[in-house]
Amino acid sequence: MTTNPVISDDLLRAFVDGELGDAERARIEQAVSADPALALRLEREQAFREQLRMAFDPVLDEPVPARLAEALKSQAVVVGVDPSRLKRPAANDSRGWGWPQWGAMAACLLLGLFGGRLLLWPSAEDGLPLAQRSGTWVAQGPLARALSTQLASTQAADAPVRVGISFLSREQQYCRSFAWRGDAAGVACREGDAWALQVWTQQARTAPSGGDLRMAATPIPAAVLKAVDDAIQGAPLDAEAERAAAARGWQR
Amino acid sequence: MNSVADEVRKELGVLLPRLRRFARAITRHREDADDLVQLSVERALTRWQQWQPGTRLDSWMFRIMKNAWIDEVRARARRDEVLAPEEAGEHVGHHPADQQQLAMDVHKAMAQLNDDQRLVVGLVLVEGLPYKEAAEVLDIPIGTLTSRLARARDALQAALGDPVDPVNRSRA
Repeated sequence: MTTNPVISDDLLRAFVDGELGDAERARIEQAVSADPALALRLEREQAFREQLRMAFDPVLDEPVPARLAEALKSQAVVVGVDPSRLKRPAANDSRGWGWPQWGAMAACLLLGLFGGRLLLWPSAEDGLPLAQRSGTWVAQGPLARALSTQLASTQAADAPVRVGISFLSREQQYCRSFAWRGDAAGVACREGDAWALQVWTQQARTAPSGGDLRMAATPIPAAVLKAVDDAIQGAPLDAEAERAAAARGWQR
Repeated sequence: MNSVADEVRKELGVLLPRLRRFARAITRHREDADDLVQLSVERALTRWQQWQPGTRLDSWMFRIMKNAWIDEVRARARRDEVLAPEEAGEHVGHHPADQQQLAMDVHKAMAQLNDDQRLVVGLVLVEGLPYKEAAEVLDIPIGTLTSRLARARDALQAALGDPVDPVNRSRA
């Protein structure tokens, strides 16, 4: 079958696969035109690729099953955060707050809120300090208490909730960023008597995170920074304004 | 909310038919194929930030699918599940009548390859990726890719017989 030993099967197949440079391609085209046996070998290789095309290409014309289109449409709120993107852009310490070390390789989960709906990664659902109230996710328990009463200027370094910055939103609500138990963080805004979650991010449950918070100046998740940037009006509250707002129950 | 995420979502929608075609090439069962696509789409949406804009989204998806499929194959092996032999024609979609037999023959021939070979065939011969791109998707040296591809091609061609002179087709 291999009558033209200069052109190996591998070379002929690379030619068919479009893998050769101009010079080699020209050499093979010339050899094919001069050698009917080689031309037949080439024809077989091309016909073989055509067979595969005819067997698989009809899949392209099939209607896509609804469940696949659905999977794509779902507001996939569980977003893996690439650790390399968690770096803070600039050292602006007005927002500086202790942040526990995020596992270098552990994926972080970002649970965003879309239209007031929070979709949770199934394994993360237990033990969250969150509750759903008339379609909105609000802080509950220790998180809600900390957001209402804890001041960034006086909080303990090892508090289970670490309040980051407090600010007034464009909607004229008070909002606060926070870290929760070293593996989650978020932003919540005061709505009536509740703290409505704007964003909640959570580290995948791979690394053990006991109460041992390390207060290294490590990055705040990008999603939290973005939520702050999107919502904030003006500058964050300073310690005095924070104290005053807390004293008014975070009402304007 | 995020333009890159939206872009990925949109592009994935365009890619879906090709992802299904690739899945059909590397799995042996039709249901497995769409399960694999669904799982991979879900994974991609949780990891879109790992995709680098400017690189090929199809290759990134094929890599996710490859990993998901290998995981699945290993899990089944651990559970000691023996894959049921494929029913003739099960994998075959709607073809023009004259192509139906050919499609069945091709799927039957593909089923005799091992998973590594099916991945190479799926990437290069079905999806048309350049060797270099396919090798990167599979995390193998290009020499490994070409030798795997050559062996897979030999096996498929032996099973399918001579496409030019069907009289001599050896029916597998």
